[in-house]
Amino acid sequence: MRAIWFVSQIALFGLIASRMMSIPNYFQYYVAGLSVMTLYSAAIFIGFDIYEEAEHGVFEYLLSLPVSRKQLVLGRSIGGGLRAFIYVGPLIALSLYVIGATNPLSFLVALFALFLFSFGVSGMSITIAVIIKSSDRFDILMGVLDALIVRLSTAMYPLAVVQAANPLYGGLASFNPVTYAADLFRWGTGIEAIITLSNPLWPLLGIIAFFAFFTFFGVIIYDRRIEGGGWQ
Amino acid sequence: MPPIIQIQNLTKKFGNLAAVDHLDLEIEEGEIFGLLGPNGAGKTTAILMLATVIKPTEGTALVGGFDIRKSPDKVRGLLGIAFQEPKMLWVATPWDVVNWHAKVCGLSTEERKRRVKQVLETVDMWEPRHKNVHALSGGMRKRVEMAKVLIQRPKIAIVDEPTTQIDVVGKHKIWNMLLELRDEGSTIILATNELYEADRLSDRVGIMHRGKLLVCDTPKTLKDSILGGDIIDIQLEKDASPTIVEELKSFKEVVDIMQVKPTNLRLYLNRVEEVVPQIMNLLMKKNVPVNSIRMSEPSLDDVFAHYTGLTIEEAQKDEG
Amino acid sequence: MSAILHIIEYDVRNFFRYKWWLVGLISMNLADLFIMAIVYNQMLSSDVMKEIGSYFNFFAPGLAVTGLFASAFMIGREVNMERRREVHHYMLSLPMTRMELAIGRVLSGGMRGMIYMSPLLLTCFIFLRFPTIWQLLVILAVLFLLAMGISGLSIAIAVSTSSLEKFITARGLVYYTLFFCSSVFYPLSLIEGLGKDGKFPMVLVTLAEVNPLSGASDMIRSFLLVGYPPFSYASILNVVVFSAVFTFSAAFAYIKIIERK
Repeated sequence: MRAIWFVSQIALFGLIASRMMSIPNYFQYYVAGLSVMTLYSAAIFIGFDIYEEAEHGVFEYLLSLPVSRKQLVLGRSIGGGLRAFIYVGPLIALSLYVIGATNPLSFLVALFALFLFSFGVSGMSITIAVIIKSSDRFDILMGVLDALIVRLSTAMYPLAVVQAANPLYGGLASFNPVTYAADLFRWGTGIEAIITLSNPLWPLLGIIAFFAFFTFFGVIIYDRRIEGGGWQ
Repeated sequence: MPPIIQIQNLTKKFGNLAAVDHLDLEIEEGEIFGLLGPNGAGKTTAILMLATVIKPTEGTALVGGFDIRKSPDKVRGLLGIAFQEPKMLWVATPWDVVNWHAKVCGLSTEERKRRVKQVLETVDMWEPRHKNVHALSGGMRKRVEMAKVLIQRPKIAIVDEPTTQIDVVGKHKIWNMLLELRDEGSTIILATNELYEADRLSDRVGIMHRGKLLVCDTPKTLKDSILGGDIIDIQLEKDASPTIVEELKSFKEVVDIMQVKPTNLRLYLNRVEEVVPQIMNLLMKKNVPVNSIRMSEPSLDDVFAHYTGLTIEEAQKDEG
Repeated sequence: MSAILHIIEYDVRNFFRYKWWLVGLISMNLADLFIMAIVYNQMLSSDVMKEIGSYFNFFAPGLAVTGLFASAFMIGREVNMERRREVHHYMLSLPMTRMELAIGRVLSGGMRGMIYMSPLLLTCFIFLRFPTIWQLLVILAVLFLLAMGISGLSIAIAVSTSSLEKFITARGLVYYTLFFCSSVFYPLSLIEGLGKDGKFPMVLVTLAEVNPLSGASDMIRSFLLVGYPPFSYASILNVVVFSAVFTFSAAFAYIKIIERK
């Protein structure tokens, strides 16, 4: 389903919508943003798995394993991120083919940033799942979060345009991991001219902070929440 | 009075496999008819055809005088069915499931309100009535499935393995409910692979194996029909000599003797109550001390084994 | 008749049980309208702006139609799930005719679409303009027919696909082809222009032209965005034909395929 969505977004929506935009090369811009959106939606999935496991009693089994809680959550978060990356890998490769990467070094930095982004989103999903403890509420929150975090980012439009449309939207989009990931990916693939990303350091730091916060905060929360059946 | 269900040459094939193979059967009004057989024997397929859920490949059945092929809508008006696997969407609650079923079956609002509570209480599902079905245990879901038939009080109730996954107390409750339903006038078809359940509840039992009906009668007649159906286990103080085994075999009621252990003999015989005193006299006369003696009647398990040559467990593997 | 009402009740109740899914969908729809459409306003080319005036206004009716599509299509997922879990055996054993059951399912899918779409349509009215009573009746009638057709289409797919994976794949193909090859997100002239330039397959251009989603979106626009695009009976006819074809094919598929197994 996700693959169909991705391909149809590129081949149909991206192609047609780019024709109505005043931004040059909007098609490439959009394809890059689409890769990050897809990675986000794949990485967020780990939280739903946790509820599934809790419902089927697999959670108890994992807790009974001779593995520390910290190792468990780190494993889940990195595993969830890696899984998403592997899953979305072919789609990213397709988008790279469409865009065409120019500088291999920049591209490697961007790819590394996407890795961290994927782990960070996975950690965020686990953290929220463990805090909320209700699959219904989690579903609702994830739906709302997905709607806002993607649309209030530069995944589909440059920051300057968001800012011009609404300064509040622009402010929120400036502090959004999806913005950081999308901007870095575009910078890495050589379409930075459109988004005027002169210095990739700021989004890179943003991604690292996002990854570090949700991975390590996730460990602490997870550790506290699950002991003694507290997750139930 | 004509039978309420007349099954004629009913057959269902899936590809080359005949799940139900030329089934002929009559079920009388007001009886509990036990359809016994291992998983895969064709019980559920036969039931689904009777309920007009699937169409027969060949043959037909008259249910309450209506042909399942020609008047399926009329047939469905007479039937209520509790499926083997509870059929409900996982987002529903027990209350919704039973209340909606009652509505579809035409219960008035007032009666429905009263009966939903009553039935859910009977099946011990009143407390968790607002829980999502996915949060219920297998046994609880099974009870909700039963509640649908109980609230409907259909003229013909079909219950497919009603007590699988249910604990002993729950089983007894469901058995009592089925007996009450029968007493209220419903005809019940009980499909089961539990021999004790069929024996305890059924007025008549039909044994199915590989899509065919092997035999059909009251449990007592079926058990009595087995030659050598009574069993005596005798434990001797010393090893049984070949002579004593031969002498025991000479009784005309004794059909077979199995030496389970050197000191233990199992006798398969008829008219156990008449022949046991004679056996005891013989053993005393021959100075063979007896430690213990245990008599048992044949069960439906023995009946099943007699007609299929397999125990129900073996038949289950065979069908699988 | 009462059996049909019971089936509608069953499906509409179930619809509201997926409240978390509905909240996610409504959030997405509102974010599309109040964030994406507003930002898109800033980056449209002058030619397109001249044609449509405001992307927000243009997109709002299209969004109501996509909301209708997604929610009416959801009935198929349930029918497919029922089939996989054999809940359809229960539905088929109920004391009602097959036709009542099939019509009930298609109707309830359509009702669910209308229920979900109503607040989105109201949003259009509030931000664009309120239609006249006759326009409103036409809008509701056409959208209901469309919802029935979508519901029928999803049921036909659901009973024809044996596994959830196959259903999801088929749904994805139908969803995105109908969504993106339509005038929901962009004016039809844009797609036709791409076709003329040889940058878009003509078969997809034709699909966009006869797509009932295009027809329904443009009909609402013609009433609410006065003068653009002009009202067209052909677009309504597209919706009617689509609805008739899929309502009957769904009823047929539901009765024949589901009972066959």
